[in-house]
Amino acid sequence: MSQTLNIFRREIASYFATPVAYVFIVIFLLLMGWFSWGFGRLFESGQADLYGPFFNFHPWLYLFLVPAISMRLWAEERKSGTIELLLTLPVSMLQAVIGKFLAAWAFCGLALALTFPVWISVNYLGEPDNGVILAGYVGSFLMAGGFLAIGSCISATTRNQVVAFILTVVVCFAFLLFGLSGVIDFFRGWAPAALVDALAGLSFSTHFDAIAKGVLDLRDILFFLLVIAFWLAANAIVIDLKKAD
Amino acid sequence: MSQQAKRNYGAGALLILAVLFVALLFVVSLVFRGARFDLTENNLYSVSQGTRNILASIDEPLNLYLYFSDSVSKDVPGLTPYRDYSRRVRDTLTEFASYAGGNLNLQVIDPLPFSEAEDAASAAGLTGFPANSAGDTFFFGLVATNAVEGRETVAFFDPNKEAFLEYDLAKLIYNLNQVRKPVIGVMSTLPINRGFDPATRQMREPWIVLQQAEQLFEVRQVAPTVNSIDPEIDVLAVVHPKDLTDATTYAIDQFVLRGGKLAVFVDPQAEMDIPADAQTNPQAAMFAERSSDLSKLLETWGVAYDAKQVVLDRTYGLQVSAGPGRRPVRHVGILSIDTAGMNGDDVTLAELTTINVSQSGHLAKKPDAEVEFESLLTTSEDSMSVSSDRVRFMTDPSSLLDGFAPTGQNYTLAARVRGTFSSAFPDGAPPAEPVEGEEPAAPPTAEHLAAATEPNDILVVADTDILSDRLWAQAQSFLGQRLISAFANNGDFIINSLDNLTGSSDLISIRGRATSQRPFTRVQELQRQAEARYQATEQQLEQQLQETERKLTELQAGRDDNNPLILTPEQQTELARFQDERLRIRQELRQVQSNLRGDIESLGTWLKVINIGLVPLLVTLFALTIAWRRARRREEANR
Repeated sequence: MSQTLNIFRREIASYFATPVAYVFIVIFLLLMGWFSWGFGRLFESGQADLYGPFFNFHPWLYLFLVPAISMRLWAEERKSGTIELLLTLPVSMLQAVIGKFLAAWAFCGLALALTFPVWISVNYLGEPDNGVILAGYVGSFLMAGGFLAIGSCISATTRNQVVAFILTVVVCFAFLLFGLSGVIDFFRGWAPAALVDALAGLSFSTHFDAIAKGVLDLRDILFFLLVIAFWLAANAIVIDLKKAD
Repeated sequence: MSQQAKRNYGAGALLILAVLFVALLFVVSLVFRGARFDLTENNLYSVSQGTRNILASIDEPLNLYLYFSDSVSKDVPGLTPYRDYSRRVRDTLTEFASYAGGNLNLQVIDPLPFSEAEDAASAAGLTGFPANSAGDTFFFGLVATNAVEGRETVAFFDPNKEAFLEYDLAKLIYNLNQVRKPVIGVMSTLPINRGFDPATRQMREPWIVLQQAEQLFEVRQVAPTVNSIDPEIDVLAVVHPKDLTDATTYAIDQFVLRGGKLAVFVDPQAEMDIPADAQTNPQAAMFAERSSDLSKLLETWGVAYDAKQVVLDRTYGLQVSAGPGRRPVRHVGILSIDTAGMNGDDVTLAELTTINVSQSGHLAKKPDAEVEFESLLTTSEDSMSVSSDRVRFMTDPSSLLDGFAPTGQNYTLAARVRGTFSSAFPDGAPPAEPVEGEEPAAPPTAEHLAAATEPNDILVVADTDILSDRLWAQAQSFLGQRLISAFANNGDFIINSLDNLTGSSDLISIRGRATSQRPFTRVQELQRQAEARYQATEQQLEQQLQETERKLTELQAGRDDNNPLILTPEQQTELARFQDERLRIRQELRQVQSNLRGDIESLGTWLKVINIGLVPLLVTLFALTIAWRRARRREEANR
């Protein structure tokens, strides 16, 4: 546990050692603000409700921003050769994987938390259902974790950060896509129903939507936790495999 | 271990992991069904206590057959929302069954094309529609039966009505479990009931509120001329009691004293009270009396109400269209009451958000009355009471604001009155009014009651328009069904009240949780302030204009020469001043008008700036400070 914590600290510190983290947060906040207040017309909607004009955009923002965080997690270590050093430390593979992941997740959480003015704004303008907003934030954080775990595992498969970024976007996009009714309908035409239903059940957007509506269903929460656990375990296996290369 | 073996081992591990992941997801979805924490303020997605009480009170086994065309819908694009919703419906019903102590048997049926199940679904009256090119029918409805041939159905589950799902299902079970539906008697002088409309020469649909009441209760029409009220009636709704005879009033009096429940809707200016000759004689229609009163009874029972007074409220006044091409104006006689004006402690109003009334009167408890008087709907303090003639002869709603002087009083628009009432006819039944050529009617056979023995509840509402469709709901046709979309809670309030008077409060606790409107109250407040400012400036400027005009007239009248067509130099100066003044005032008014939304727009701009730019700016400043300090530290270290 303490080793995981050490890795976590080292990673977090490394984020803020360069301007990259600040640039990321600034871009994230600018986009989030513009999507909600400009494109999503939150003020003009006249409703103190964040479900539509704010949380709706989270999956699509994460699709590009989370891979940008995750791409360097392992690819950089592999390229610069520090991965060997890391693995010679008295740290288990899983501890390293979890520590790095938690640091990236906490960083995402910080970026998400910095959107707090939107919460203050709707509370200033009207009387929003704060329970629903809280659920939206919980769902968004869990979804970010899911995306990050995928990105972390993919980052371990390559030395090239750009390749890691693109592959992560593609895989995450697939996980989002299956939640869209249009896509599901397209598959319903020819694919076996059981498969289509199963794929729809794997979609991030359906589980996120269910949470953002205001209900913390254990099944939705466990879905994200299982996704995270699965991809992190795969991450450890991939690093172990790559060690052989 | 060789490289290849290690790779195979790794690939195998990944495969096992994937299988484990899918299996775990499957187990999770089965095991943790219903394990959830509802964070919504009104617990929109949880089975409420009211539903639990209804489910616990089921005293004989009920069978629920959920028809969902699973096979037919599987490969049909476009039915996905229904497939998703079917899960929600099934989950809710399963949860219901868990609270019903084994008295609720749920069966999910997939009515395959040309099967007995499909015939049964059709026969039960479920709505089916063609799902594919082969013409297979898609069903998604519910049939519920009890042991004694009672049957209730949901013809089709509409995902748009998801928020009402629990209420609809609880109501269905409640109805099925009832031995007999409560009987509501409706005595009305307004066209609330189903009937023939001579103007359109067509059958007239009853008002939506009555249609909703018919789903829950047995609704009977009671003529406003009866001499006695059927004792089978549980609740009597008296709407717009105009010119009731003493005999009818006495019948109502005795009905209440015997324990019958009463809901009275009186009105100083009932807009739906349209004279038959309104089309041909609009002048007469304007002068027609549209007020109603039940003063004989209400006074006796401790309620003060003046049928000549209407309430105006600047805070709750609604924006109405002033005609094509004109700016909407605030009508301070048509009020949209929000939660601040509702008694949230009363079950009939709990969780409702908006109730609209129009040109309503107001009620009060008589000072010496020994009754409990509980206000249900009240105005804001920014209100006043005026003679109903002001609204009766009004041509422009904005004229109601002339001389508006709020009294700071919250006027009561609807109230619940509880007490052990005494008769308004202390001397017994009134003598029958002789009608020419007819035998005098026999006096009522039931014994006269001078006072009630038990306390009773009555509901008094000082507006009848609250019941009319135009103030709260629209009806439209969908798949052959009449769907109601409500934009205010008037219907909920009325049904809640009737339901409450019949004694079933469990259903009330479920109804009305669905309203999810959360308007920007601050923006609305700014809008009201801006309008008030505009009105004030407008009044002030118009006064100045009138003053200038008056001066001009004075100059003209004061002349003693013989040539009134030629203006004196003073008059010319005054005229020029007047024209300048008028121009200036017009410009100023236009300016005020264009500034009307200024505050709101600037608030919007500020919020956008803060939300999009502020935190990124702070983060940037923070990053620059850190970078600067680091650079300095490095410099110091190098020195």
